[in-house]
Amino acid sequence: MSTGTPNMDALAIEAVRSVVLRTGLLLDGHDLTGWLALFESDGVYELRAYSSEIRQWMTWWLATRGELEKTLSEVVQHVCDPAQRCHVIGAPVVTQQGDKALAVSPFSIFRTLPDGVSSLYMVGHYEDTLAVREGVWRISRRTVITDTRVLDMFTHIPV
Amino acid sequence: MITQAAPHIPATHYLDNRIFTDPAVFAEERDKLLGKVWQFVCHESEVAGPGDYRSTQIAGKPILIVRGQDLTVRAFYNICRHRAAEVVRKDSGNAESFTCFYHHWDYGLDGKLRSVAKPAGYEAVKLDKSELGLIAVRCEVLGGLVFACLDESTPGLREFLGDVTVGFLVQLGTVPLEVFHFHKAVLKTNWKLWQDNNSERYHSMLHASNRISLPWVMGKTSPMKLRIFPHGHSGYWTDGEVAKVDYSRGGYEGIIGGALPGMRDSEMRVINLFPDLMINIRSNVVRLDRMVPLEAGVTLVEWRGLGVKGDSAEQRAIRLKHHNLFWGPTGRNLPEDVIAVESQFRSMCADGVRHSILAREEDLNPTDDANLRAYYKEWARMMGRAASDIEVSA
Repeated sequence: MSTGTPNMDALAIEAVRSVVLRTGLLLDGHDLTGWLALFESDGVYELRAYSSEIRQWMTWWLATRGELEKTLSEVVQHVCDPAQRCHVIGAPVVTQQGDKALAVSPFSIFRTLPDGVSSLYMVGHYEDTLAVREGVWRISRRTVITDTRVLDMFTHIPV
Repeated sequence: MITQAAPHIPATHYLDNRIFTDPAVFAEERDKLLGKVWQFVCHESEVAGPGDYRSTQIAGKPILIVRGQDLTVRAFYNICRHRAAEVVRKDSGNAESFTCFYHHWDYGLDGKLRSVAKPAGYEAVKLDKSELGLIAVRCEVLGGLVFACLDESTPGLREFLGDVTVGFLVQLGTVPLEVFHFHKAVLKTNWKLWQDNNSERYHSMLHASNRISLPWVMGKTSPMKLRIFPHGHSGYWTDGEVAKVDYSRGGYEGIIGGALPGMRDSEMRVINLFPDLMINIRSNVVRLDRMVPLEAGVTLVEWRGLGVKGDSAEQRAIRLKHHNLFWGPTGRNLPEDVIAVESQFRSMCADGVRHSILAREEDLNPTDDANLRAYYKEWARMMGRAASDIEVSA
């Protein structure tokens, strides 16, 4: 299969894809520490959406890894949505960007309430920039573009 | 059958929970209340230039807000005079005129009917286009807030608001503001429960971030005081000693600077306009909550974040960070508020507990319930029903 990334070998592409796909598993498993570990120390997380009402792009969440660590450490103090989430991440398309990799992946998140009722929670795509250090790929920036703007439940937890 | 007796406190200090759950009460609210009062519909920055428009609803009726070539902001029923299709079907946009998609009747930005398709067919009845413009709705702008009112007999906006405007006119009306954040959600709750949540400070202990950063809420006294105004409006703020939000205790950084006119760094104030608008100002950023009640237990809530028009990128980033820290769909506070009001409504529908208690009296400290009592006094006046018992006339 053509990857469109002639300068990245197949192993590197698979490694990048693996990082992207693991983000969903870790979030679904409430392993926020493990999720954070996939970011570089100066990594950035951003959640963006376009509003047709005010006709402009918005940033709903922008945080460095340090800020994320603080927020996520306090999740236990919050009253949170009791639903279980399930990320379904489509195959990331990986391209080389200088010495980094850009992975674009469609995603959907399903939400299942404690009584077993499931519903679609969010649809969008990830734009992940990853860097490799000492043979390990980590996310230097994750931009979440959500198409879904009317959420059934708001969230303290990254998507 | 519920057997609970009313609590042994004054009837002004409790509510009949059926005012939130009864579909008949909701239908009555649309006629007697939501269709009568001035309601915030959008910020003027959303219709900044000629031809800019927004569509929305008031009391279940489709409404169009548009800025004309003369820069006046007007409101109309968003209903074609021909066969009652919605003339505008998008949330917002810019138009030179509005052509109904169904049969192509075309209206100017001033609402006048400009042309009809195949006009020869109307010659026999001498159709008078001047009688068939979009039906105007009363519309006024104050402090950048655009209000509309469906009822011709309601007093003017300034009379309706009265002195509550002292709480926000300097902050919102001195320098041009603009909306940088908009999101909405359909909450499974009654619209008044969201307004209650926005009005009462007693629930601050729900929020982890408030428990840390709002020591004056947890204490017995506060420099902030409730302000009660006629027509159900209220607010809380301080005129003297600063009731600071202690962001440093929460370790929250990078959010101070660029305070709005009339505000000090780390200061906050909240104004609640009857029946459904909250203006929440945290020093350098504004949150507006507006509601579109859809059913007794279904409420569309719109949240707006406002900053100063022409902000530098650095200043806007500070306001945005401050806004998103507490508000927005990923803020620290908002998710918890939604969980609370939806939980309330589910329980109220079960009708196991008939009454809600609004009995805190604390010398108008922010956790006093006096503003809620004033709100429901006005609600009862307009509805002609006692809020404490829907089977009793007010």
